[in-house]
Amino acid sequence: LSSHAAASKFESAVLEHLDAAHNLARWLTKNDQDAQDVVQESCMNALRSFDSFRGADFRAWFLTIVRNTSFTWLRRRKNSSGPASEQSLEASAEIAADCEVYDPQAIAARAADADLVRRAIAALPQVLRETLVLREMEGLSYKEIGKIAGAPIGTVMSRLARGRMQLQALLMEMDQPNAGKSVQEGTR
Amino acid sequence: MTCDEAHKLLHAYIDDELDVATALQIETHLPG
Repeated sequence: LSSHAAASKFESAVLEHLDAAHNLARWLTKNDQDAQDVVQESCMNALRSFDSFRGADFRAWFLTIVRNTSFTWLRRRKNSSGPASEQSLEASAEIAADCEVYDPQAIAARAADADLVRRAIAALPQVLRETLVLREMEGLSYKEIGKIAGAPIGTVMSRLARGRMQLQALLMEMDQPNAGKSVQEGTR
Repeated sequence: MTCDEAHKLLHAYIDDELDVATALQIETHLPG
């Protein structure tokens, strides 16, 4: 391939998976701005090594780079907590925009539910969080997750099962006002 | 397959990630 054709092929492949890349980076860094920087850096890293990409699964290859770049980023920053309140406001606005019927009570309830789930996922250990995000949000197969995380399928299975059970326990705990308050205070 | 082993594979079964033979083994542990 000519360099122009290769660049064009790379661009279309990356564009297709940019949302998934940003989603994974945001859940790993817990910060929207950091996620944007991570994705940008990941694109540069992927472009540099695109010549060596021979596999059929570009998504798994690209998300592996995003994952590794996120961890490098976290090690550099040593601070993975982000401005949660600002993110919550943005998310609430998105939910309001998504509501077909303008019902303030329904919008508030949906926003509260979404915020609860977001905080619970953010509170999960990193290996469980990334496995859940890749499966439940990106719809990747166990095999693809194993490739990205560098783990055997049996490990993916157990991480997913543990992640779901811990998420359920966290949601139940956080849904109780007093317990929810203590979790919120603990993450500040 | 023991009940414990089946229990560990339950999430993969629900996610439709098991091969047919293993999925059938799991089904023998599920209440009919």
